[in-house]
Amino acid sequence: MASFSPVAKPRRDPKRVMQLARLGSAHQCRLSFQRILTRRMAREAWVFTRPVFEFNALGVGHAIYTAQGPERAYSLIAFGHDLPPEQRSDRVIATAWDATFTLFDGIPTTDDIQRLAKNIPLQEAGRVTQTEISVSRANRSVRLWAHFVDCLSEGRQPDADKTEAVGYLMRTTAVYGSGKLGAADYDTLSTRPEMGVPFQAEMLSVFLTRGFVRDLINHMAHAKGGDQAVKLDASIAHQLGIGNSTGLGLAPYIINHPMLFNNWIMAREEAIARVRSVRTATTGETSQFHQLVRRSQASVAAWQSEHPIQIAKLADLTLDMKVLIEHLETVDLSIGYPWDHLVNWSETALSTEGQELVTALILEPYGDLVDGLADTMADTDTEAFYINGAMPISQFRELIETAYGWALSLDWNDRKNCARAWYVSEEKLEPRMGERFEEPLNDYEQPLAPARDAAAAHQALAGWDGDKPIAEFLLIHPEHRHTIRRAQISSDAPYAEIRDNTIAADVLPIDFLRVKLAFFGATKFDPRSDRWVRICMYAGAPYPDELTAENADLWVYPEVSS
Amino acid sequence: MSYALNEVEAIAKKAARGAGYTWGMSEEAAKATRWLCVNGIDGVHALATVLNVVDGTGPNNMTPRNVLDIWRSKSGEMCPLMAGATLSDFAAVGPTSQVNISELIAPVLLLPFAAMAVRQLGVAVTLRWDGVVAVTDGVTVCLDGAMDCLTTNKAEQVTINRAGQIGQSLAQCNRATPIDSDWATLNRFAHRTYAPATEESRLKGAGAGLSDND
Repeated sequence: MASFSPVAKPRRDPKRVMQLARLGSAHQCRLSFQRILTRRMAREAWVFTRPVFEFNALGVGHAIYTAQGPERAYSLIAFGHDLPPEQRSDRVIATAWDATFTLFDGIPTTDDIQRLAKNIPLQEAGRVTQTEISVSRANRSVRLWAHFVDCLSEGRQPDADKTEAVGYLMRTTAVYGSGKLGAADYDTLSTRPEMGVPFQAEMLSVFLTRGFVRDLINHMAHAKGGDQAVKLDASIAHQLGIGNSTGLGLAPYIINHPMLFNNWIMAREEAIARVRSVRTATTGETSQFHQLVRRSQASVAAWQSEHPIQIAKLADLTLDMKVLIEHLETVDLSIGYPWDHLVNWSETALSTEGQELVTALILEPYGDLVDGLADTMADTDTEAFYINGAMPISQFRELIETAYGWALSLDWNDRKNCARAWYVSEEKLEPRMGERFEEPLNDYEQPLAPARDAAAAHQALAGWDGDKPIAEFLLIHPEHRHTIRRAQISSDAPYAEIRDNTIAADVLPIDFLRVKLAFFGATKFDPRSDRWVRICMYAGAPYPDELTAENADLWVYPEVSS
Repeated sequence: MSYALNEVEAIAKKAARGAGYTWGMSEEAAKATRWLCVNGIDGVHALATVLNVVDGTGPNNMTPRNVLDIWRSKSGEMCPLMAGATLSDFAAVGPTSQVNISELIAPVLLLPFAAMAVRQLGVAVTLRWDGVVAVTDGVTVCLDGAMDCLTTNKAEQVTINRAGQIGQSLAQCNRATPIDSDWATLNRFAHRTYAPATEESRLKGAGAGLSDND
């Protein structure tokens, strides 16, 4: 059992943590939503069944996968389609997919299935009801799918090289939840223990989808090869995750939900601070850490990207792992505050990717200190929205200076500091980012530049008496209302605000995507441009029918021979 | 058709923005619309009424000119969102126990803001107009009068008192069933916030580059 410091180590400074380059180097950890879910389902001994699986040789049909928890059941309803290759696109503007899904609250009736069969395949063009919790779709990996069907139908296993290079047979291109398309609002589910942590329904949907994909590939191989066909080898199946292709749509989320985003980062930073405060580590804890560093190194080695930015970061991270392992061979972890020393060392010796990985890895031996923080990650503070109009203007000035101090001295008229504008296209409402000075976008700009707006509000407040209530300012300046709200939220939420310019000429939207997806538990980030990224979810995880307390947590780290 | 409350909130925010409100006020419009729907009141209709009036005049001309005893706007008609935000912002500022608002459009939209004031003050607030008496404790609404009086498009005078007794509250809802034409109105205003699709933005704006079909 860990012994604590009499003086707890502080959480890391938001000024440092909330820079985009660092957020864009985030890794999954014990507090990732996928791992929180698999731990819970194993602990509560959830039971998984597949009451329906009806598909033809082309993969057209439907299936139901039911997850039975202690109080409630949830069912993934999967529809398979025969999609012409020219229609296959990961973009939001696509209108057809290889497979479409909904997570149903309970066990669907025949009438439910008939209703959903008319709506789920249409995705955004369909409607669902409050018995549906999420709506999603997936496309096959063209590179792998045919290869797998061919090999298995001919009685042999697919090539390991090809499997490793892609990592998934299907990738989801959107998972909609919380009221989208008419589905159940999160508020109606959030009091259920299994839904209290953010995105648990979406993560359950993907977990069940992975099982469906394995079943479908076996089915199609058998349909093609008959008795000659073999089933996909379990060790290959384990390596496969569900891919995901994520574009700009996810990026505004973390700006639009400042309290929620704060709670995620706060939970992680509190976990890091608790582990850094451990005075002495047991040999069990240090040996588990050593082992997971080795396994993590294997994970880094298997991580591939074609994007120049990520290629460079991976080269750094690969070197970081080598340096870390060498360091661990020389350093004595039985000294006082070993994890604090290690984090301090990493800040002088490793790249940002490596530093962030170290902070994630030190949490692993300390489930007892860390895992309970999962319950603090939702945003349940409904009062945070209300502006306290009585707060003196002087206090608002201070709040803005604390959260956006760096932005007040920036020249916001300089074109490079405001080159970009976020907007929503009328074409299927796809979120996009454009060049402010090259396209007529100003009238359509979304409020996703809080730092610029804070600087403007600070300037507007300049001539005001600091003792006056902010209500008087707002009566004359409603254009600063969203900034005043954010500043007030930041007073209780130090990690709510990104400490970087979100409209700079060199902003990388993939940094926003990375941090959000890391909290989901994603791995193998592979940017495909500066504004969309492919990832893998649940790679290495047990399938639903294999989930046990022993394999529910550390599946994310590949096994290595010692 | 039945809508999720998040759908109501999302379309209300865009619609208010499309009608000319600032982003901060659009957020208020969205939360207020949702709050009414939670309490079984047709917030979508109320917002559609307001946006149709505001369109052209502009919300800034329909804002309280000051916060003295009777609130009046520059244009004569008062926007309930602007008046409501002001009511909530000043709740903990002044000692005024009664506020009167002249020529208020869709007065029912003042209720969610009165509820925010209640949550700051810790006492119930009562609104009166055209024979309607509505009391809120910050979460729920208690009505004295028929529901159809609630949906009046405009009240000559609304009186707000910092006092009230909550009796039988309206049942809380977790879905909204707005009138189709009101929903269409919100969509029409929301559409103004969407940039026209161009081939350039289709290619560059979402970062298409490498093939996404592999």
